[in-house]
Amino acid sequence: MPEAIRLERLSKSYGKQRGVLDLDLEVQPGEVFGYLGPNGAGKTTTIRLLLDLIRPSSGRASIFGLDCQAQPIAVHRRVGYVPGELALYPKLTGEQTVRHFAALRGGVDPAWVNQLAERLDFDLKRPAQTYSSGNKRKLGLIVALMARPDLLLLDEASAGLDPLVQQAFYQILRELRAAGTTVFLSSHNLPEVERVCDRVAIIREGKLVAVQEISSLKAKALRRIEIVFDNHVPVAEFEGLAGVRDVSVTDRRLTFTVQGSLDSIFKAAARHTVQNVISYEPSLEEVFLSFYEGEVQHAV
Amino acid sequence: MLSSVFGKNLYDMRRGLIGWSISILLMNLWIVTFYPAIRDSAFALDQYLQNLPPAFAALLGETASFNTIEGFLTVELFTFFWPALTLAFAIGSGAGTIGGEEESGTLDLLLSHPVPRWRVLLEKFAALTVFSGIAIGAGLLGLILGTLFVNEAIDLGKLGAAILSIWLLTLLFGTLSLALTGVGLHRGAAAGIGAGVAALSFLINTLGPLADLPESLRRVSPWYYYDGGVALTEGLKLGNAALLAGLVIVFLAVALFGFQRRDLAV
Repeated sequence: MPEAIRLERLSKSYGKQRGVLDLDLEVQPGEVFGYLGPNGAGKTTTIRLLLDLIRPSSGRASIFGLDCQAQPIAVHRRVGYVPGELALYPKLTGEQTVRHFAALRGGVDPAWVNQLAERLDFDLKRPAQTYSSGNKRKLGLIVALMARPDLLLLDEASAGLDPLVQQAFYQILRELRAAGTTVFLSSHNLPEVERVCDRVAIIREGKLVAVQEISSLKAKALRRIEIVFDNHVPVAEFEGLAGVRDVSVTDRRLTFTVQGSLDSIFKAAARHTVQNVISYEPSLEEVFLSFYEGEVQHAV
Repeated sequence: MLSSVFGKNLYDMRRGLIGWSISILLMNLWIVTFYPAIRDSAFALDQYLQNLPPAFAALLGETASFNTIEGFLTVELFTFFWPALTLAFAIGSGAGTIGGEEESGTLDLLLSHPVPRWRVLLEKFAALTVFSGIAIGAGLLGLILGTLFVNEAIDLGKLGAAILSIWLLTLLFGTLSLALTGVGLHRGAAAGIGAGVAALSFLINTLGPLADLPESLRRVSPWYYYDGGVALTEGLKLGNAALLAGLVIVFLAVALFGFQRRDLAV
């Protein structure tokens, strides 16, 4: 069975600055794949190349074995897409928008559309220009999901959804995945990707930095942790522990960064009386740094 | 209505189209009702025309005369006012149909669906053809109502030929603007260039003879082949109509070729 997505030395240059360079990537059918990178890293460029909205400078992209440039219509039949900068027809209502795009797909199951709208708590009756940005994204999701595509391309799809709706969205993603849908989700939000994805590619300045299982990404990820004791603790007890760095003690407060398991540091801390533990999620930049320290990983 | 790109474009434009159509209808009706008053002083006005500086006379039309309803319509409607209105409408629509969607960002979502780019463009061109046809049809209705009101007879066959000519000229400039966005220009630039070319080529054609411009230069102007007024007395000039239609097809081909190949703007 061909890969859901296959990029082969895919490049797109826009003069000097933006673009992507020599992307090699394979996403297997049924995977929920995260595409992680800061704004401007090339996530949207990659997705627009997959949809033949822009053409590669060199290299090739295919979806389910179909060449994205040579057979775009066959590709589009199997793909649902939510653009990052989602724009809708302002004068059409949600329902009219759905009807228009459904017709371009040759029809969809109206019961499924209504179910999606209900689960995302979305009112289809109003004109698109009256929707909030969160509601626009809901409509974008409905349009992308309504034809039950084999591959979903979601460009920052959950941005702007309120937390409850985000939960409903993740639940829908889980069901789709159980039904065999492949999901390619671009995001600059690490916790989101950790939460829903099986694997993740990290892109930075147009280049793939790493392609990882989520579990090994978590193991690699640096976290900054602060432990508050009831007394001053000697810093020497914590220095040199496996995976632990940047240790410092100020007053009764121990701070450090740790990569991977927390076991050794917690065992060391347990010799004292612990009042509080504060863990800071690593920012994307910190995740990148953890990949950049030493050599750049590229384990596909 | 929303089951195709063509239908959606008609649906989107319905209000604007109704506004334009009513305006053109009323303008034509209103102007024609002046004819009896003008006709009664036609002799004086024709004298006046002959004494005008040649440049002004040329702007009013080559066969300018107020003696007949045809001459009157040529001067008052077909030479400038009517095509100016329909061109403004078509140039704006032509530049906006792809360019507007690209500017607002809806083109990405539209073209991520299983519809080929060429088909989207052809359906939008078809909608443009229908819009301009309706707008011109409304003007025709105003004109006919006007002639009934002032009790003047007009040869409907020749009027049809004039209408065909104005429609082709309108489509030509509308399709030019569409083609400019097809090859990647922004909506504003395409509308500006379309309007600029329309105005400049109008001046070249009308003032060319006075400025001693070579005939070959006038032949470059699409207005040279526009028979709106002439057709009222002389009927359809097939060669000119075919040439205008040919140019529409050329611009459409450029639009298709450019749009099929290029990157969509973000």
